[in-house]
Amino acid sequence: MSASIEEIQSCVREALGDVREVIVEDLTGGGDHFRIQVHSPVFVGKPLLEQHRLVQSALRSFLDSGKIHAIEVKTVPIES
Amino acid sequence: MSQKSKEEILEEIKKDIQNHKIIAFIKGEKLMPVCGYSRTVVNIFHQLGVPFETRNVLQSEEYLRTLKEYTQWPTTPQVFINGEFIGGCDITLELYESGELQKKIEKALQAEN
Repeated sequence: MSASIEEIQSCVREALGDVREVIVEDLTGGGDHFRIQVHSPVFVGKPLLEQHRLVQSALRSFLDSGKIHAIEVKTVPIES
Repeated sequence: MSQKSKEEILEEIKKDIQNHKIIAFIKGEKLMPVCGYSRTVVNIFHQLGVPFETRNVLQSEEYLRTLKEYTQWPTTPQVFINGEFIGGCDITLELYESGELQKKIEKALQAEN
């Protein structure tokens, strides 16, 4: 029961659409604790909470199923 | 301890959020958080030396599920300041590092009940 870095990257890209970069780090090597940094224009002008919600909703299925236990999210708004 | 209903839990959560200017829903107790992210949030408020409340989300599965549904936030800890949902550990940390968290706390503590 774990997620792969590629799965996370594709889920985030698919959900957010215009994504420049998705840097994913497996914090424990166990595939259930990740640090995820997302560079995207969709964050521009949005409050921080909103930006994080976008990333979380992209990974909703992983989080709800328990495939991922914890994520550290860093969002980076970039001009498109 | 009888099993509280979902409605009772939701009522309790809402009241806690209103009655405490700073409250963190964490895994474990204030002095003994059991998860690193919860510990980080507790440490931030300790360092700032501000009065804050915590609730242990592990008190029952129903409690954790009700909280996550209420905030539509799938992870813990969850932090509220002055009734406003701030986010989890990484947002609280980011706001702390930018000084934004201190501003929100100052405003909250100044605001009359």
